[in-house]
Amino acid sequence: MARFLLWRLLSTVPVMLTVLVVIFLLLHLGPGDPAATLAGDNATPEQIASIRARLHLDQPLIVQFAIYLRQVLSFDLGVSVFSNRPVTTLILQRAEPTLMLATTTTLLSVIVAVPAGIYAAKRVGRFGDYVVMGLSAIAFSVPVFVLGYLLMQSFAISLRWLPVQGYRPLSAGLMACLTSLTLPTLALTCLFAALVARITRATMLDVLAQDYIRTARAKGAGRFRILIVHALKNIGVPVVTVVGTSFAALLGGVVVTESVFNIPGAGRLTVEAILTRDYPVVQGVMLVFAVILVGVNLLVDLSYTLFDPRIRHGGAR
Amino acid sequence: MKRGYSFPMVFGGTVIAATLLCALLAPMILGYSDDIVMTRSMRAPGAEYWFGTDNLGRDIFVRTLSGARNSVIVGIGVAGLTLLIGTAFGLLAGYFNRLDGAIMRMMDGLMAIPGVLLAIALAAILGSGLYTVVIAIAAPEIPRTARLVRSVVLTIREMPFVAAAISVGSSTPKILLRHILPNAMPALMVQATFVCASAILTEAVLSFLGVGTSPDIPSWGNVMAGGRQFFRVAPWVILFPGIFLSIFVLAINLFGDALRERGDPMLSGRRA
Amino acid sequence: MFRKKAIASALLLGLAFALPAQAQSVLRVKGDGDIKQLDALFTTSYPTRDMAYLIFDTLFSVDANYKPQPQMVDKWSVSDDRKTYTFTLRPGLKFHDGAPVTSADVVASIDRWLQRDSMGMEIAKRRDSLTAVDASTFRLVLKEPFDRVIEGFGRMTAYPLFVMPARLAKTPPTEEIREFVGSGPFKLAASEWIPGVQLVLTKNADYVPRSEPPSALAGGKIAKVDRIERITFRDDMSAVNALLAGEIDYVSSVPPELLPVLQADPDIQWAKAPILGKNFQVIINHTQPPFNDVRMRQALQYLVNQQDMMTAIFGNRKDLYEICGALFMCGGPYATDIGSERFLNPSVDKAKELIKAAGYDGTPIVYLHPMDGKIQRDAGTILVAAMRKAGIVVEDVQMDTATMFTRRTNKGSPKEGGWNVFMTGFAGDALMDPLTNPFMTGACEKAWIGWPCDTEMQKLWQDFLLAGNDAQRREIAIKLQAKANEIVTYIPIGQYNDISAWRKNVSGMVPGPILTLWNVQKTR
Repeated sequence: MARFLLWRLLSTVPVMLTVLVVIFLLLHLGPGDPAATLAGDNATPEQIASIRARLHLDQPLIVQFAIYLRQVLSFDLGVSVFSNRPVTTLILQRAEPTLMLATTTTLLSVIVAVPAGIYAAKRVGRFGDYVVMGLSAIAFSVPVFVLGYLLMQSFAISLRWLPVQGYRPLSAGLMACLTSLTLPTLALTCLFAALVARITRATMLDVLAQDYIRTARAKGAGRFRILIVHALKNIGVPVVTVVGTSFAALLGGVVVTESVFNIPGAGRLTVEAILTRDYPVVQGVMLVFAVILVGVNLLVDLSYTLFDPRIRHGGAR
Repeated sequence: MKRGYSFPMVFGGTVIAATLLCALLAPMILGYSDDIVMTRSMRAPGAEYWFGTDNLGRDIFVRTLSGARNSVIVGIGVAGLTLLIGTAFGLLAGYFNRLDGAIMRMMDGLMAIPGVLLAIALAAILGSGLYTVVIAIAAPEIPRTARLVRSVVLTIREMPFVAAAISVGSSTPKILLRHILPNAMPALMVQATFVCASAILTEAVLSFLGVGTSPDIPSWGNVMAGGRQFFRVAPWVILFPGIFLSIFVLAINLFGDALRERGDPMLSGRRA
Repeated sequence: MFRKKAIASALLLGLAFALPAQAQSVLRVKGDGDIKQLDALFTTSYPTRDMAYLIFDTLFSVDANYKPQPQMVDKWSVSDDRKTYTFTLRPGLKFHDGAPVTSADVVASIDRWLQRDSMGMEIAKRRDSLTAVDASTFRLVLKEPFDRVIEGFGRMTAYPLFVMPARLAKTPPTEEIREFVGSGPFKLAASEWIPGVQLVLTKNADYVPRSEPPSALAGGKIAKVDRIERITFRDDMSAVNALLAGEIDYVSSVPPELLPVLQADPDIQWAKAPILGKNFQVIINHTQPPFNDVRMRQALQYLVNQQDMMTAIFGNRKDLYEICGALFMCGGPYATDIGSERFLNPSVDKAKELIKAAGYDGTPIVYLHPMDGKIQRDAGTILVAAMRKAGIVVEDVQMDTATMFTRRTNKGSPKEGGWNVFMTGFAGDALMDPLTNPFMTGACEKAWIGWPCDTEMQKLWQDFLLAGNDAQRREIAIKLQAKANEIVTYIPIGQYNDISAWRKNVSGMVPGPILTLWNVQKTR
């Protein structure tokens, strides 16, 4: 077990290195750099050049990378080119809304989509299955910003039930926070729940087809009993996998939702930083996202080993 | 499941075929008249302009149909590119043990960056042409395909017929392409429909954030993104391309589902 | 260390959000763009400057007629030989950290500004000495008479002279200041500033306003709300929706297509702002073929159809824009149509004649086309279409603004990453005066991007700088515009105003060149 864990942890090192190199090269080889944006429209070329020098942008790429790598290795993500704030601070300031939105969406999606997926699997090939799959396909086919506008128009502007935009932090009270998150969560859940329902259905079909279910059925266990006791016990792990593997898709959806509903989260931070070429911020956020994704995958793998003894004992799967 | 043609497959297939036809024929039928004509800007849908016009007086009907063409190019382009590169990496990683570690760690690295963010960064940096957008959307999708192909290769590599092919002295490329690749095809086709559908949606998102294709290369996504400011005064600009986009993506998804059901050995085995 | 910092900032953040907002009047504003930094001597970004006016005070400020009026200065005098300026500060001025404003602070602030601003540099060239006489008096002695000192101290572009404590003003102008302590009517709530999200100002209770009524940036600045929250929106639709729902009180610029929605709501008031309007400009690279030929540049003047471009942006709202031939802004003190015939009477045919005469060989020209700003995107699309109609082969390079900002400084040929044409936007307060209009120097390599080169313009610019009275200045400005139009230093695409909108319980807006939030009050 410990060896397995150590091995998995070590194997993330080259992954993180790849992330670092890819993002760094992407930014620095691409056209556009922050100096000109920073100086503003009226600035003279000399002023821009002096900013470039101050940001080390006039140094060879390999030197710049070395500087950056050394910084990261000492757990320092650098300082925003524009606001001069540490990237860590910026991320922490923006983390809460994103985490909250991701959490509410995941919860709602699991509550709605897991039962729907199980139901579809149970009724596979019949009307109920078609309804669930059809609905999920529809939800999957509408751009999230269109959905956002529609929700905003109906619930916030026409009916005035909910705030149009913005985010109320947890410190302003749980209810205020959840109210401000209702519409964005709904918009994002449509997309995410469709994904979760699909994966749950596929996994459930997989589980139902396995030998021990057949055995149980042969032994005369009731349909309901099979579903709940035998299948659900085994679906716990797959659901963790579902949530884990679609986490990246969720983060992507969060970016757009944050823009539509004006939520000051980490996704918007990244998009803005990309558009202004705030190199340290883009690199920092991408790195943090990567650490989170890799961490989630690691947890998913761990949950396998906890629930599935075959892996723990080094067996093949 | 049933060997016949289910409703989703027929529906999906028909819509896809019709859209492809539109995409191919649109320039011929319409002669590209989505010119900027300021005297007819912001017209509501009617007899003259079926889908209305936008703020630059461009005919939304024409832009929706030519948008079909570019959206389809993005969808198929991304699916094709992803499949091509992903399959190559997957085959190499799965068949040659020595390359496996290096390739897969690289893929893991790419996969660890949220796809949409990577696409945004690539699109912002590469510029907003049709092909740069295709590359930007395809890049984050490659690792998943590579993984899929690799896992298929790993399974098939051990099968007797591959061993037989090796023993009669078939060359490695021949084994990979003749024996292994065809077995990965069904799974890849399903994957392709999924990538195609999500690529069209991602393109819309990129346009929304201002880094998608340029307005004179109309795609459903950027016509909608261009019209979102007018959502409350001229909803037709966003409505019509939105409906087309959603129905097309829906068709692809349904078609992909149907393919998956037909090709799923586990499922058919159970029903048999 | 990392952990400690993290926890500390998390705590700080929690505290910031926990601040009670009750019983306080809070003005929530959607400003133009995001404020990424606050050193207005480091960046020329407009949002930064506009916000700095609330935090920092100035020695002089322009009134509604763009004339400098004393602001922090109480009395001032100039000697008979026009070489010695003596200033006395108003009593009772205090920085936000509690320290009194002394002439030593002012001298340090002027010093930093002299190194940065173009007018500052002109003053610096002629400076003999700049000294603090006593705590509230300072003196500037020149080597030769120069009549633009007061104008320079009060100018709002490109870099206004903001007064800050000497300890901060000693920062070299090539480095940003990190702490924003001013003496203006509002204080920065530094802990609540989240770049890209919000910037919070609180009332400076110690501020002593002037007794005159407010006029643009001059006169009495009274903080009438306790707190200003400037919120950044990435999406204009969300901002307008928030205004309709009463979640924010003021939107500095509403996209014109959303105006009908606002007009339908009885609780919303709107007005055109700022008073002088804005302009986008077509900029041509004078150094690269084919536009190194003046006839090609003049052909481009024929292809800029202001009516088309303005219709694209404002639809049929003719009240929101004007077709304008004045390079120094219609309504400005130097407005004239001289030399503007070509773009006031656009004609593809005449453009074709000029292009033919220039012997254009069909070499593709590079147009830098940012996609993330609506005006540049749509007006650019129209310009590209017009150029193509006239037979110019256009490589329409679409990009984001950040790429454009970098690429436009490249002086090489289009093949080496250079460019031929792009569009940019300067506000009217910069364009209205030949000294702040960046396209009037004709200074070749040293000119603003586009690098127009003309010895006559250089001379006219110097003449204008030294001209003593308004009549002379106007005469030279007219000559400057004629020359600028002849060699085509830029082509305006039409003059327009932003639309400001606010809820009706907000009042007291002072019309001016920028969004000034002093004197604004909010009732329940």
